[in-house]
Amino acid sequence: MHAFPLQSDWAFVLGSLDLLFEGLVVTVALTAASIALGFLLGFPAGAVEVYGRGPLARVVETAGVVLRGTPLLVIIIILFFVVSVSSSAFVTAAVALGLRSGAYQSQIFRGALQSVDEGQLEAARSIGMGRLQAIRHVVVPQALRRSVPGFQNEFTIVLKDTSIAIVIGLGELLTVGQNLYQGGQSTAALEIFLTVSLIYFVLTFTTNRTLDYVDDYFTIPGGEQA
Amino acid sequence: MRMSENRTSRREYLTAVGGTAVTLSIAGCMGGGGGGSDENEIVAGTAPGFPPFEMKQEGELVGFDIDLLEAVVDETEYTLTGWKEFEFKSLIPALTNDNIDVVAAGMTINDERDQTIDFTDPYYSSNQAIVVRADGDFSPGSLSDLSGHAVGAQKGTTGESVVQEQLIDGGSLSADNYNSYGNYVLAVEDLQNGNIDAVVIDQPVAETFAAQRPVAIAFTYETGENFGFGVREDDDEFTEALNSGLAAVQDGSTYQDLTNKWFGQQ
Amino acid sequence: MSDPLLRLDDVYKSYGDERVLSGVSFEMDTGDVDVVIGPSGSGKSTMLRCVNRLTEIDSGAIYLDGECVTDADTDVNELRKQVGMVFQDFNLFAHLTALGNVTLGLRKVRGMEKSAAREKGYEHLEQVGLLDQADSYPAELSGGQKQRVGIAQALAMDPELLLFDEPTSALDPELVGEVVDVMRDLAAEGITMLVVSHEMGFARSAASDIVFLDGGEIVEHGPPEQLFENPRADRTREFLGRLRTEHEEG
Repeated sequence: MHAFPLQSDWAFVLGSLDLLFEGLVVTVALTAASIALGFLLGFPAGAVEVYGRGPLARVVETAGVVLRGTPLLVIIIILFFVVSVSSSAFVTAAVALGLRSGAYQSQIFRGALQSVDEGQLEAARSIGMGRLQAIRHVVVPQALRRSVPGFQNEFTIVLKDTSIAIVIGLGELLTVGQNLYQGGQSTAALEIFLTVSLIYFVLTFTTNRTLDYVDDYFTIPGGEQA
Repeated sequence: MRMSENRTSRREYLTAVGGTAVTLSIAGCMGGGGGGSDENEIVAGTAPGFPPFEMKQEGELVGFDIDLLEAVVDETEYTLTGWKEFEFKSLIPALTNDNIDVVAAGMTINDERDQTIDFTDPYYSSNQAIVVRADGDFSPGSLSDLSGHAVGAQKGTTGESVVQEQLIDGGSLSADNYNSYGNYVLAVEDLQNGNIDAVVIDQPVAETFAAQRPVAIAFTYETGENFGFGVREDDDEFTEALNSGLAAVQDGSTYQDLTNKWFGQQ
Repeated sequence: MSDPLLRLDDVYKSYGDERVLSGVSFEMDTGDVDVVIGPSGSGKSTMLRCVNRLTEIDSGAIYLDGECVTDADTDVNELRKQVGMVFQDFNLFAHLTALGNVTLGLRKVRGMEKSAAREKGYEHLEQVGLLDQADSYPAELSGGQKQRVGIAQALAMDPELLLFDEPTSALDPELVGEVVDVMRDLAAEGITMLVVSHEMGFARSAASDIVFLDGGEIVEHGPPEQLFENPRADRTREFLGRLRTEHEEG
C-alpha cells in the first residue's frame, strides 16, 4: 500500500469538506427534485381519491397502494435495470423517489382535503359555484395549510432515502462519506459519520423551520374551525 | 516511468467523469448504455470501498483494479471512456443492462456468477488473512484455532463464506460466535474494541489495516479463489481482447510494478 | 294570473327504504315569507334542500318562475344563483374574512371586478349590521355574527328566493335575537323567504304562511293567525300543543 500520510481524524474530515459538499449538492438536488415530483403527482392523486368517481379513482388508489407497498430499493432497481427509464442515474433516482413520495403525499393531501368540513363545500355550491371551482377556492386553500406537518415529515423521509441512489451508481452525501473512510483513513469513520449526520440534521432542521415559518405566515387568524 | 503525463491527465478526466455525478447526470450527459456512439468505446464499473483494489482518495477513484484494467485496455483496440461507481451488488445488473461493459471490482470468479456473466482469465489470486489484535494474546495458527472465539467478516464476501463453510458448517464454530458486518472497517473497529477476537478479510486489505492500526495478521488461508474482470456473456470478442491484453501486461513489467505499488507492505 | 315564484309538484324523496317526502305540493309567490314547521324527521330540511338541488328528488317536479328546475338539462349552478341558502351550521369559508366570504361568490360566480365586489360586500355586511367586522375571520366571530355573515353572503348574490335551514338552531339562546332581528328586517324589505325554523315568535309576526309538515306530508298550511289559533287537523293541534307545553315548561 503506498504511503499516505495519516492526519488526525478530524483534520482529515476538514480536508475532505469540499468532497462532502459535492455529495451534499447531489443530496439536496435529488431531494428537491423528488419532493417536487412527489407533489405534482401526489396532490392531484389525493384530490382524485377524494373527489374522483369510478375507474380513475380506482386506478389511482391501486397505483398508490402498490407504490407504497413496494420497497424503494425494488422500485429504483426496476426503473434503472429493468425498465430503464433514463440512462441518467440522477433522473432515474428522482423518478423513483418522486413516484414513491407522490404515493405518500397523496395520502397527506387526501386526509387534509377530507378534513375540511363538507358543509363549506355545500355553501360554496349553493352560491352557484361549480364543483371544481368550489374545491379550488374553498377546500384547497384550507387543505394545503393543513398539509404542512405531513409535508415536513415527508421531506425528512425523502432526504434520508436519497442514499439509496448508490445502488444505481449515483454518489450522494452518504456515499461520499463512506468512500472517504473506506478509501483513505479508515480510523476517521466515526468522525465522518458524525459530520454527515450533522449535515443531515442541519438540512432537516432548516427545512422544517422554513416550513414552520411558511405555515405561520398562512395561518388563518383565530384557528381552523370556523 | 509507468505513467506518462498523457495518462495522468486522462486519469483525472476519467475520475472527474466518474466522480461528479451531479453536473453530468443533471445535464443528462452520462453515456447512454455501454456501447456509446463508437463500437470500440467501453465504460468500466466498480464499487469503491475495497482498498487497495478500488477506493476514493481525495475524490479520485484509485486502486489496483483501476490501474490494471486501464493498462489492459490500453493493449487492445478498445478505449476506456470512463468509470461508473455502484454498490457491489449492483455491478452485475449494471453489466447485463448495458450500463457498463466491464466490471473491475475485486470480483471472485465463481460458478454462481458464471451463470449470468462471463469472466476474463484470472488476474489475481485472493487469499484470506485472519487478523487479530496486535497486543492481544490470541494467536491462532489455523482455522480450527478460531473455535470458541468471536469471529467477524464482511457480509457477502469470500471471508464470510470461508467462516461459514469451513467453520460453522463443519461444526467447529457456533453460529452465534460469528458476527457479520456491513463493512470491513466496522469489523476491524470491533476487533480493536475487544468485541470480537478475529476478522477474516482479503489479504491485501488486511495488510493495509495492519500497517495503520494495532492489529496483526495471525496467518493466511489460501482459498484458491481468483479475481477476474466481469463481462457480458455474448461479448466474446471483447473478452478475448481483454485476455490478450492481460497476458501482455503480465508478461511485461507493468503487472509487477502495480503489485509493488499497491501491495507493497510485506 | 302569473306563475308562482316557487312551485313543488308532487315531490317524492326516499333515503333507501325510508320515505322522507311523500307527494309534497306547495306554492309561494314573490314577497312571501313562508315558515315550515313540524316534528324533527318530518322532512323539512330535505324539502328545502330539494329546492336548490343539494338533494335530488326521486319523482315529481319543482318550478322556479314557471320553469322546471329538476330535469336533466337544468343548469344547477344557474339555479343556485337565483336561490340562496342560509345553513344551520353557518358553513362559512374559514380561510376568508367576513368580507371575503361575502365577495367570493361575487368575484368568482358573478365575475365582478374586485373593487365593485368589495363595495357590494360592504353594503350587505352593513345590511346585517356587521360592517365593523368586515376584516374578521369566522373563527373570531360569535355564532350570531357568523350566521349574519352567512345571511349577507346569500343576499349578496341577489337571489330571487332565500332559503333558511333552521338558522338559529345551533345558536346559544342569547345570540338568537340578533339573527331573528335581521330576518325580520329582510321580511319587511320584501325579500322572498322560505324558512324552516322553531322560532315561533318570528313565525307569528313575520310569516305570510305557515306550513305544517309531518311524516313527509304537508298536513295543512295557512296564515299564522289561522294556523296557530285554529288548526284544522288533529296532528297540527297535537304538535302545537306539545310545543306550547315545552315552551311553558322551558
